[in-house]
Amino acid sequence: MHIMEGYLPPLHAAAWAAAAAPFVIVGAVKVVRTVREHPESRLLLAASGAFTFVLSALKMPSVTGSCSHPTGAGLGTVLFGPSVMTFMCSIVLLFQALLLAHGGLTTLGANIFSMGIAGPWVGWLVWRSLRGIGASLELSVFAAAALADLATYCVTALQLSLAFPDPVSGVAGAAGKFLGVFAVTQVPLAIVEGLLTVAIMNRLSRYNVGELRQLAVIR
Amino acid sequence: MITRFDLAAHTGRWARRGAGGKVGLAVGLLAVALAAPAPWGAGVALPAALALALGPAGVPGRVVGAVMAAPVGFLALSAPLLAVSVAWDQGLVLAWSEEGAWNAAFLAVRALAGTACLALLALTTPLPQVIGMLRRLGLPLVLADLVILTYRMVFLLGDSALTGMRAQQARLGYEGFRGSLRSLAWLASGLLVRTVERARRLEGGLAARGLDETASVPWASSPTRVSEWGLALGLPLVLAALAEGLALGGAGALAGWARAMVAWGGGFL
Repeated sequence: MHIMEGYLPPLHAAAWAAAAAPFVIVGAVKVVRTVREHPESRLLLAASGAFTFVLSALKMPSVTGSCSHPTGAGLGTVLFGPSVMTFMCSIVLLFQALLLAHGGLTTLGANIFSMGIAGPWVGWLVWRSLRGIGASLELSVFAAAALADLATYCVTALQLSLAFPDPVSGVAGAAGKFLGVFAVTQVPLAIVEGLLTVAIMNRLSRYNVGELRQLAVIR
Repeated sequence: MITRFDLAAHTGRWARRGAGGKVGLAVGLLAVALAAPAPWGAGVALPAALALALGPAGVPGRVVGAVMAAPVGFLALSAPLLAVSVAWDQGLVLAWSEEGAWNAAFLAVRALAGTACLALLALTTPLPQVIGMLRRLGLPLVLADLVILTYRMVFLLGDSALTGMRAQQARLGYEGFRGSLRSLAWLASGLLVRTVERARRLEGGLAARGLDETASVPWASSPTRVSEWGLALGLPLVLAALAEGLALGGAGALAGWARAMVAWGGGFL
Protein backbone atom coordinates (compact mmCIF):
# COMPACT_ATOMS: atom_id res chain seq x y z
CA MET A 1 0.00 0.00 0.00
CA HIS A 2 2.14 2.84 -1.31
CA ILE A 3 1.33 6.47 -0.60
CA MET A 4 1.32 8.05 -4.05
CA GLU A 5 3.47 10.98 -5.19
CA GLY A 6 2.16 14.37 -4.14
CA TYR A 7 -0.24 12.94 -1.56
CA LEU A 8 1.53 14.10 1.59
CA PRO A 9 2.01 17.80 2.40
CA PRO A 10 5.69 18.82 1.95
CA LEU A 11 6.39 19.18 5.70
CA HIS A 12 5.02 15.71 6.46
CA ALA A 13 6.98 14.21 3.57
CA ALA A 14 10.19 15.82 4.89
CA ALA A 15 9.51 14.67 8.46
CA TRP A 16 8.98 11.04 7.41
CA ALA A 17 12.10 11.16 5.25
CA ALA A 18 14.08 12.41 8.28
CA ALA A 19 12.58 9.66 10.45
CA ALA A 20 13.46 6.94 7.92
CA ALA A 21 16.97 8.20 7.13
CA PRO A 22 18.81 6.78 10.20
CA PHE A 23 17.42 3.29 9.59
CA VAL A 24 18.35 3.40 5.89
CA ILE A 25 21.86 4.64 6.72
CA VAL A 26 22.36 1.88 9.31
CA GLY A 27 21.16 -0.68 6.75
CA ALA A 28 23.44 0.75 4.05
CA VAL A 29 26.45 0.73 6.41
CA LYS A 30 25.72 -2.91 7.28
CA VAL A 31 25.44 -3.80 3.60
CA VAL A 32 28.75 -2.03 2.77
CA ARG A 33 30.47 -3.80 5.69
CA THR A 34 29.07 -7.17 4.61
CA VAL A 35 30.31 -6.65 1.04
CA ARG A 36 33.79 -5.66 2.28
CA GLU A 37 34.03 -8.67 4.63
CA HIS A 38 32.44 -11.13 2.19
CA PRO A 39 32.97 -9.86 -1.39
CA GLU A 40 31.11 -12.89 -2.71
CA SER A 41 27.95 -11.62 -0.97
CA ARG A 42 27.69 -8.63 -3.36
CA LEU A 43 25.86 -10.58 -6.04
CA LEU A 44 23.83 -12.45 -3.45
CA LEU A 45 22.65 -9.11 -2.02
CA ALA A 46 21.79 -7.78 -5.48
CA ALA A 47 19.95 -10.98 -6.35
CA SER A 48 18.09 -10.85 -3.03
CA GLY A 49 17.04 -7.24 -3.74
CA ALA A 50 15.77 -8.32 -7.16
CA PHE A 51 13.94 -11.25 -5.53
CA THR A 52 12.23 -8.83 -3.10
CA PHE A 53 11.15 -6.64 -6.03
CA VAL A 54 9.83 -9.56 -8.08
CA LEU A 55 8.08 -11.05 -5.02
CA SER A 56 6.27 -7.76 -4.48
CA ALA A 57 5.06 -7.88 -8.10
CA LEU A 58 3.56 -11.40 -7.89
CA LYS A 59 -0.23 -11.50 -7.80
CA MET A 60 -1.52 -13.00 -4.58
CA PRO A 61 -4.97 -14.60 -4.36
CA SER A 62 -7.35 -12.82 -2.00
CA VAL A 63 -10.26 -14.30 -0.09
CA THR A 64 -12.37 -11.35 -1.25
CA GLY A 65 -11.95 -12.52 -4.84
CA SER A 66 -9.62 -9.75 -5.99
CA CYS A 67 -5.84 -9.98 -6.36
CA SER A 68 -3.12 -8.05 -4.61
CA HIS A 69 0.62 -8.21 -4.06
CA PRO A 70 2.61 -9.46 -1.06
CA THR A 71 4.81 -6.93 0.76
CA GLY A 72 7.45 -9.63 1.31
CA ALA A 73 8.43 -7.90 4.57
CA GLY A 74 7.91 -11.00 6.73
CA LEU A 75 9.70 -13.42 4.42
CA GLY A 76 12.52 -10.95 3.74
CA THR A 77 13.03 -10.29 7.45
CA VAL A 78 13.21 -13.97 8.32
CA LEU A 79 15.64 -14.61 5.42
CA PHE A 80 17.81 -11.48 5.41
CA GLY A 81 17.31 -9.78 8.82
CA PRO A 82 15.62 -6.41 9.47
CA SER A 83 18.55 -4.00 8.81
CA VAL A 84 19.38 -5.48 5.42
CA MET A 85 15.65 -5.71 4.65
CA THR A 86 15.26 -1.97 5.36
CA PHE A 87 17.99 -1.21 2.82
CA MET A 88 16.55 -3.64 0.27
CA CYS A 89 13.04 -2.22 0.73
CA SER A 90 14.48 1.25 0.14
CA ILE A 91 15.99 0.10 -3.17
CA VAL A 92 12.77 -1.69 -4.14
CA LEU A 93 10.65 1.38 -3.34
CA LEU A 94 13.06 3.61 -5.29
CA PHE A 95 12.82 1.20 -8.25
CA GLN A 96 9.03 1.14 -8.01
CA ALA A 97 8.99 4.95 -8.09
CA LEU A 98 11.51 5.36 -10.92
CA LEU A 99 10.43 2.40 -13.06
CA LEU A 100 6.69 2.24 -12.42
CA ALA A 101 5.78 5.69 -10.96
CA HIS A 102 4.34 3.61 -8.11
CA GLY A 103 4.79 5.33 -4.73
CA GLY A 104 6.82 8.48 -5.11
CA LEU A 105 9.99 10.44 -4.49
CA THR A 106 8.58 12.92 -1.96
CA THR A 107 6.66 10.08 -0.28
CA LEU A 108 9.66 7.72 -0.40
CA GLY A 109 10.55 8.42 3.26
CA ALA A 110 6.99 7.71 4.45
CA ASN A 111 6.77 4.53 2.36
CA ILE A 112 10.19 3.34 3.57
CA PHE A 113 9.07 3.95 7.16
CA SER A 114 5.92 1.87 6.80
CA MET A 115 7.14 -0.90 4.48
CA GLY A 116 10.88 -0.99 5.11
CA ILE A 117 11.07 -0.20 8.82
CA ALA A 118 7.78 -0.80 10.67
CA GLY A 119 6.92 -4.00 8.78
CA PRO A 120 10.32 -5.73 8.95
CA TRP A 121 11.08 -4.70 12.56
CA VAL A 122 7.66 -5.79 13.85
CA GLY A 123 8.06 -9.05 11.90
CA TRP A 124 11.54 -9.54 13.35
CA LEU A 125 10.39 -8.90 16.96
CA VAL A 126 7.48 -11.33 16.57
CA TRP A 127 9.71 -13.95 14.92
CA ARG A 128 12.42 -13.73 17.62
CA SER A 129 9.91 -13.66 20.47
CA LEU A 130 7.95 -16.67 19.27
CA ARG A 131 11.06 -18.70 18.43
CA GLY A 132 12.47 -17.66 21.83
CA ILE A 133 9.54 -19.23 23.69
CA GLY A 134 9.74 -22.37 21.58
CA ALA A 135 6.84 -21.79 19.17
CA SER A 136 6.81 -23.92 16.02
CA LEU A 137 8.41 -22.69 12.78
CA GLU A 138 5.02 -22.52 11.08
CA LEU A 139 3.36 -20.43 13.79
CA SER A 140 6.36 -18.09 14.10
CA VAL A 141 6.60 -17.52 10.33
CA PHE A 142 2.83 -17.01 9.98
CA ALA A 143 2.67 -14.49 12.85
CA ALA A 144 5.80 -12.63 11.68
CA ALA A 145 4.56 -12.28 8.09
CA ALA A 146 0.94 -11.42 8.94
CA LEU A 147 1.83 -8.92 11.67
CA ALA A 148 4.56 -7.32 9.51
CA ASP A 149 1.90 -6.79 6.85
CA LEU A 150 -0.58 -5.40 9.38
CA ALA A 151 2.09 -3.10 10.89
CA THR A 152 2.75 -1.67 7.42
CA TYR A 153 -0.93 -0.96 6.90
CA CYS A 154 -1.43 0.55 10.39
CA VAL A 155 1.58 2.87 10.00
CA THR A 156 0.36 3.98 6.54
CA ALA A 157 -3.08 4.76 8.02
CA LEU A 158 -1.39 6.69 10.84
CA GLN A 159 0.71 8.68 8.37
CA LEU A 160 -2.42 9.63 6.43
CA SER A 161 -4.32 10.54 9.63
CA LEU A 162 -1.52 12.83 10.82
CA ALA A 163 -1.51 14.56 7.42
CA PHE A 164 -5.29 14.82 7.13
CA PRO A 165 -6.93 14.98 10.58
CA ASP A 166 -10.71 14.78 10.73
CA PRO A 167 -12.34 18.26 10.98
CA VAL A 168 -14.41 17.12 14.00
CA SER A 169 -12.56 14.31 15.78
CA GLY A 170 -8.97 15.10 14.79
CA VAL A 171 -6.20 12.56 14.23
CA ALA A 172 -8.01 9.80 16.16
CA GLY A 173 -11.11 10.12 13.98
CA ALA A 174 -9.05 10.16 10.79
CA ALA A 175 -7.13 7.08 11.97
CA GLY A 176 -10.45 5.30 12.52
CA LYS A 177 -11.60 6.19 9.00
CA PHE A 178 -8.39 5.12 7.24
CA LEU A 179 -7.93 1.96 9.34
CA GLY A 180 -11.55 1.01 8.79
CA VAL A 181 -11.54 1.42 5.02
CA PHE A 182 -8.16 -0.24 4.44
CA ALA A 183 -8.97 -3.08 6.87
CA VAL A 184 -11.50 -4.50 4.39
CA THR A 185 -8.68 -5.44 2.01
CA GLN A 186 -5.58 -5.43 4.21
CA VAL A 187 -6.63 -7.79 7.03
CA PRO A 188 -7.52 -10.66 4.65
CA LEU A 189 -4.34 -9.94 2.68
CA ALA A 190 -2.21 -10.11 5.84
CA ILE A 191 -3.68 -13.54 6.64
CA VAL A 192 -3.10 -14.75 3.08
CA GLU A 193 0.48 -13.43 3.10
CA GLY A 194 1.07 -15.24 6.40
CA LEU A 195 -0.19 -18.53 4.89
CA LEU A 196 1.87 -17.99 1.74
CA THR A 197 5.03 -17.29 3.72
CA VAL A 198 4.55 -20.47 5.77
CA ALA A 199 4.17 -22.49 2.56
CA ILE A 200 7.35 -20.92 1.11
CA MET A 201 9.41 -21.46 4.28
CA ASN A 202 8.17 -25.07 4.60
CA ARG A 203 9.38 -25.83 1.11
CA LEU A 204 12.69 -24.04 1.57
CA SER A 205 13.46 -25.68 4.92
CA ARG A 206 12.61 -29.10 3.50
CA TYR A 207 14.35 -29.00 0.12
CA ASN A 208 16.77 -26.04 0.09
CA VAL A 209 18.70 -25.99 3.36
CA GLY A 210 21.95 -25.25 1.47
CA GLU A 211 20.56 -22.05 -0.07
CA LEU A 212 19.22 -20.90 3.31
CA ARG A 213 22.73 -21.38 4.79
CA GLN A 214 24.19 -19.21 2.01
CA LEU A 215 21.68 -16.45 2.73
CA ALA A 216 22.79 -16.43 6.38
CA VAL A 217 25.99 -14.67 5.22
CA ILE A 218 24.09 -11.42 4.55
CA ARG A 219 21.80 -11.52 7.60
CA MET B 1 4.38 -4.20 -17.24
CA ILE B 2 7.77 -3.10 -15.89
CA THR B 3 9.44 -4.13 -19.18
CA ARG B 4 6.93 -2.00 -21.10
CA PHE B 5 7.68 1.10 -19.01
CA ASP B 6 11.45 0.49 -19.05
CA LEU B 7 11.31 0.03 -22.82
CA ALA B 8 9.49 3.36 -23.16
CA ALA B 9 12.25 5.05 -21.14
CA HIS B 10 15.04 3.41 -23.18
CA THR B 11 13.55 3.97 -26.64
CA GLY B 12 11.69 7.27 -26.30
CA ARG B 13 12.68 10.53 -27.98
CA TRP B 14 14.19 11.82 -24.75
CA ALA B 15 16.17 8.66 -23.93
CA ARG B 16 19.47 10.22 -25.03
CA ARG B 17 18.92 13.56 -23.33
CA GLY B 18 21.08 14.34 -20.31
CA ALA B 19 19.73 12.85 -17.09
CA GLY B 20 20.35 16.06 -15.13
CA GLY B 21 17.97 18.06 -17.30
CA LYS B 22 15.21 15.45 -17.12
CA VAL B 23 15.51 14.96 -13.36
CA GLY B 24 15.68 18.74 -12.87
CA LEU B 25 12.56 19.25 -15.00
CA ALA B 26 10.52 16.55 -13.21
CA VAL B 27 11.63 17.71 -9.75
CA GLY B 28 10.97 21.34 -10.67
CA LEU B 29 7.45 20.56 -11.86
CA LEU B 30 6.91 18.49 -8.72
CA ALA B 31 8.00 21.44 -6.57
CA VAL B 32 5.48 23.66 -8.39
CA ALA B 33 2.72 21.10 -7.82
CA LEU B 34 3.49 20.82 -4.09
CA ALA B 35 4.68 24.26 -3.08
CA ALA B 36 2.91 26.81 -5.33
CA PRO B 37 -0.47 28.15 -4.13
CA ALA B 38 -3.14 25.41 -4.16
CA PRO B 39 -4.82 24.35 -6.34
CA TRP B 40 -3.20 26.48 -9.04
CA GLY B 41 0.31 25.03 -8.69
CA ALA B 42 -0.89 21.47 -9.19
CA GLY B 43 -3.43 22.69 -11.75
CA VAL B 44 -0.70 24.01 -14.04
CA ALA B 45 1.92 21.30 -13.31
CA LEU B 46 -0.46 18.43 -14.19
CA PRO B 47 -1.20 19.44 -17.82
CA ALA B 48 2.41 20.58 -18.30
CA ALA B 49 3.85 17.19 -17.24
CA LEU B 50 1.31 15.24 -19.32
CA ALA B 51 1.82 17.50 -22.35
CA LEU B 52 5.61 17.09 -22.16
CA ALA B 53 5.32 13.29 -21.86
CA LEU B 54 2.80 12.88 -24.67
CA GLY B 55 4.17 15.62 -26.93
CA PRO B 56 7.91 16.33 -27.10
CA ALA B 57 8.93 13.12 -25.27
CA GLY B 58 6.65 11.02 -27.50
CA VAL B 59 5.46 8.55 -24.86
CA PRO B 60 2.36 6.67 -26.13
CA GLY B 61 -0.86 7.67 -24.38
CA ARG B 62 -1.72 4.11 -23.35
CA VAL B 63 1.64 3.76 -21.57
CA VAL B 64 1.06 7.02 -19.67
CA GLY B 65 -2.45 5.78 -18.80
CA ALA B 66 -1.14 2.42 -17.58
CA VAL B 67 1.50 4.04 -15.38
CA MET B 68 -1.08 6.36 -13.77
CA ALA B 69 -3.66 3.60 -13.12
CA ALA B 70 -2.35 2.11 -9.84
CA PRO B 71 -1.84 5.46 -8.04
CA VAL B 72 -5.30 6.58 -9.18
CA GLY B 73 -6.73 3.46 -7.47
CA PHE B 74 -5.08 4.50 -4.18
CA LEU B 75 -6.46 8.03 -4.63
CA ALA B 76 -9.99 6.76 -5.33
CA LEU B 77 -9.92 4.68 -2.13
CA SER B 78 -8.50 7.25 0.25
CA ALA B 79 -9.35 10.81 -0.91
CA PRO B 80 -13.17 10.53 -0.49
CA LEU B 81 -12.60 9.83 3.22
CA LEU B 82 -11.56 13.45 3.68
CA ALA B 83 -15.05 14.58 2.70
CA VAL B 84 -16.63 12.68 5.60
CA SER B 85 -16.23 13.77 9.22
CA VAL B 86 -16.55 11.36 12.12
CA ALA B 87 -17.68 12.04 15.70
CA TRP B 88 -18.40 9.57 18.47
CA ASP B 89 -19.20 11.70 21.52
CA GLN B 90 -22.92 10.88 21.21
CA GLY B 91 -22.68 7.62 19.31
CA LEU B 92 -21.06 7.25 15.90
CA VAL B 93 -22.04 10.18 13.68
CA LEU B 94 -20.86 10.46 10.07
CA ALA B 95 -21.41 13.81 8.34
CA TRP B 96 -20.61 15.40 4.99
CA SER B 97 -17.94 18.08 5.36
CA GLU B 98 -17.83 20.78 2.70
CA GLU B 99 -14.39 21.90 3.82
CA GLY B 100 -13.24 18.27 3.73
CA ALA B 101 -14.65 17.85 0.21
CA TRP B 102 -12.66 20.85 -1.01
CA ASN B 103 -9.54 19.49 0.70
CA ALA B 104 -10.14 16.13 -1.01
CA ALA B 105 -10.51 17.82 -4.41
CA PHE B 106 -7.31 19.87 -3.91
CA LEU B 107 -5.49 16.74 -2.73
CA ALA B 108 -6.66 14.79 -5.78
CA VAL B 109 -5.33 17.46 -8.17
CA ARG B 110 -2.02 17.69 -6.27
CA ALA B 111 -1.51 13.91 -6.13
CA LEU B 112 -2.39 13.49 -9.82
CA ALA B 113 0.03 16.29 -10.70
CA GLY B 114 2.77 14.70 -8.58
CA THR B 115 2.20 11.30 -10.20
CA ALA B 116 2.25 12.87 -13.68
CA CYS B 117 5.64 14.49 -12.89
CA LEU B 118 6.96 11.15 -11.66
CA ALA B 119 5.57 9.40 -14.75
CA LEU B 120 7.36 11.97 -16.93
CA LEU B 121 10.62 11.04 -15.22
CA ALA B 122 10.00 7.27 -15.20
CA LEU B 123 8.98 7.11 -18.87
CA THR B 124 11.79 9.29 -20.25
CA THR B 125 14.81 8.44 -18.08
CA PRO B 126 16.36 4.94 -18.03
CA LEU B 127 17.13 4.05 -14.42
CA PRO B 128 20.91 3.53 -14.99
CA GLN B 129 21.10 7.22 -16.01
CA VAL B 130 19.61 8.23 -12.64
CA ILE B 131 22.00 5.91 -10.77
CA GLY B 132 24.92 7.32 -12.77
CA MET B 133 23.83 10.81 -11.76
CA LEU B 134 23.56 9.79 -8.10
CA ARG B 135 27.04 8.25 -8.34
CA ARG B 136 28.44 11.56 -9.65
CA LEU B 137 26.68 13.28 -6.73
CA GLY B 138 28.53 11.08 -4.22
CA LEU B 139 26.64 7.76 -3.86
CA PRO B 140 29.30 5.25 -2.66
CA LEU B 141 30.60 2.97 -5.42
CA VAL B 142 29.64 -0.21 -3.54
CA LEU B 143 26.02 0.91 -3.22
CA ALA B 144 25.80 2.23 -6.80
CA ASP B 145 27.17 -1.09 -8.04
CA LEU B 146 24.68 -3.00 -5.91
CA VAL B 147 21.76 -0.96 -7.25
CA ILE B 148 22.85 -1.46 -10.87
CA LEU B 149 23.26 -5.21 -10.33
CA THR B 150 19.84 -5.36 -8.69
CA TYR B 151 18.36 -3.49 -11.69
CA ARG B 152 19.87 -6.04 -14.10
CA MET B 153 18.66 -8.98 -12.06
CA VAL B 154 15.10 -7.66 -11.69
CA PHE B 155 14.48 -8.34 -15.38
CA LEU B 156 16.19 -11.76 -15.35
CA LEU B 157 14.21 -12.91 -12.32
CA GLY B 158 11.05 -11.27 -13.67
CA ASP B 159 11.37 -13.36 -16.83
CA SER B 160 11.87 -16.50 -14.75
CA ALA B 161 8.78 -15.66 -12.67
CA LEU B 162 6.69 -15.05 -15.77
CA THR B 163 7.83 -18.30 -17.40
CA GLY B 164 7.14 -20.27 -14.22
CA MET B 165 3.72 -18.71 -13.79
CA ARG B 166 2.72 -19.46 -17.40
CA ALA B 167 3.78 -23.09 -16.95
CA GLN B 168 1.73 -23.33 -13.74
CA GLN B 169 -1.28 -21.72 -15.44
CA ALA B 170 -0.99 -24.24 -18.30
CA ARG B 171 -1.21 -27.01 -15.68
CA LEU B 172 -4.29 -25.30 -14.12
CA GLY B 173 -2.17 -24.43 -11.09
CA TYR B 174 -4.23 -21.36 -10.23
CA GLU B 175 -7.62 -23.08 -10.00
CA GLY B 176 -9.18 -22.17 -6.64
CA PHE B 177 -7.77 -20.43 -3.59
CA ARG B 178 -5.78 -23.39 -2.21
CA GLY B 179 -4.32 -24.23 -5.61
CA SER B 180 -3.31 -20.60 -6.19
CA LEU B 181 -1.63 -20.37 -2.80
CA ARG B 182 0.26 -23.62 -3.33
CA SER B 183 1.41 -22.65 -6.83
CA LEU B 184 2.53 -19.24 -5.66
CA ALA B 185 4.52 -20.77 -2.79
CA TRP B 186 6.26 -23.16 -5.22
CA LEU B 187 6.95 -20.29 -7.59
CA ALA B 188 8.39 -17.98 -4.90
CA SER B 189 10.56 -20.65 -3.28
CA GLY B 190 11.77 -21.81 -6.70
CA LEU B 191 12.64 -18.22 -7.55
CA LEU B 192 14.64 -17.84 -4.34
CA VAL B 193 16.66 -20.96 -5.11
CA ARG B 194 17.19 -19.70 -8.66
CA THR B 195 18.26 -16.33 -7.24
CA VAL B 196 20.98 -17.88 -5.10
CA GLU B 197 22.20 -20.12 -7.95
CA ARG B 198 22.25 -17.22 -10.41
CA ALA B 199 24.24 -15.06 -7.98
CA ARG B 200 26.76 -17.88 -7.47
CA ARG B 201 27.20 -18.47 -11.22
CA LEU B 202 27.51 -14.75 -11.97
CA GLU B 203 30.07 -14.31 -9.19
CA GLY B 204 32.13 -17.18 -10.63
CA GLY B 205 31.88 -15.79 -14.16
CA LEU B 206 32.91 -12.29 -13.15
CA ALA B 207 35.79 -13.57 -11.01
CA ALA B 208 37.03 -15.63 -13.97
CA ARG B 209 37.17 -12.42 -16.03
CA GLY B 210 38.97 -10.55 -13.25
CA LEU B 211 35.97 -8.32 -12.46
CA ASP B 212 36.04 -8.88 -8.73
CA GLU B 213 35.68 -5.28 -7.53
CA THR B 214 32.64 -3.92 -9.31
CA ALA B 215 30.47 -5.26 -12.08
CA SER B 216 28.71 -2.09 -13.18
CA VAL B 217 27.90 -1.78 -16.82
CA PRO B 218 29.12 1.52 -18.26
CA TRP B 219 26.21 3.43 -19.75
CA ALA B 220 26.19 6.15 -22.34
CA SER B 221 24.85 9.31 -20.73
CA SER B 222 24.76 12.44 -22.81
CA PRO B 223 25.58 15.72 -21.08
CA THR B 224 22.64 18.02 -20.51
CA ARG B 225 22.61 20.81 -23.10
CA VAL B 226 22.05 24.47 -22.25
CA SER B 227 18.58 24.44 -23.85
CA GLU B 228 17.63 21.39 -21.75
CA TRP B 229 18.77 23.16 -18.57
CA GLY B 230 16.80 26.17 -19.75
CA LEU B 231 13.65 24.07 -19.99
CA ALA B 232 14.35 22.30 -16.68
CA LEU B 233 14.88 25.53 -14.76
CA GLY B 234 12.74 27.95 -16.73
CA LEU B 235 9.47 26.05 -17.15
CA PRO B 236 8.94 25.41 -13.41
CA LEU B 237 9.73 29.08 -12.70
CA VAL B 238 7.23 30.22 -15.34
CA LEU B 239 4.59 27.81 -14.01
CA ALA B 240 5.22 28.91 -10.41
CA ALA B 241 4.77 32.54 -11.45
CA LEU B 242 1.64 31.56 -13.38
CA ALA B 243 0.21 29.82 -10.31
CA GLU B 244 0.97 32.88 -8.18
CA GLY B 245 -0.66 35.11 -10.81
CA LEU B 246 -3.74 32.90 -10.94
CA ALA B 247 -4.00 32.89 -7.16
CA LEU B 248 -3.84 36.69 -7.14
CA GLY B 249 -5.44 37.74 -10.41
CA GLY B 250 -7.75 34.96 -11.62
CA ALA B 251 -8.65 34.19 -15.24
CA GLY B 252 -7.47 37.48 -16.72
CA ALA B 253 -3.94 36.69 -15.65
CA LEU B 254 -4.27 33.17 -17.10
CA ALA B 255 -4.65 34.37 -20.69
CA GLY B 256 -1.64 36.67 -20.47
CA TRP B 257 0.60 34.05 -18.88
CA ALA B 258 -0.52 31.34 -21.32
CA ARG B 259 0.49 33.51 -24.29
CA ALA B 260 3.86 34.26 -22.67
CA MET B 261 4.51 30.61 -21.85
CA VAL B 262 3.67 29.35 -25.34
CA ALA B 263 5.96 31.94 -26.88
CA TRP B 264 8.80 31.12 -24.45
CA GLY B 265 8.43 27.32 -24.41
CA GLY B 266 8.40 26.96 -28.21
CA GLY B 267 12.10 27.82 -28.34
CA PHE B 268 13.16 24.93 -26.09
CA LEU B 269 10.99 22.05 -27.35
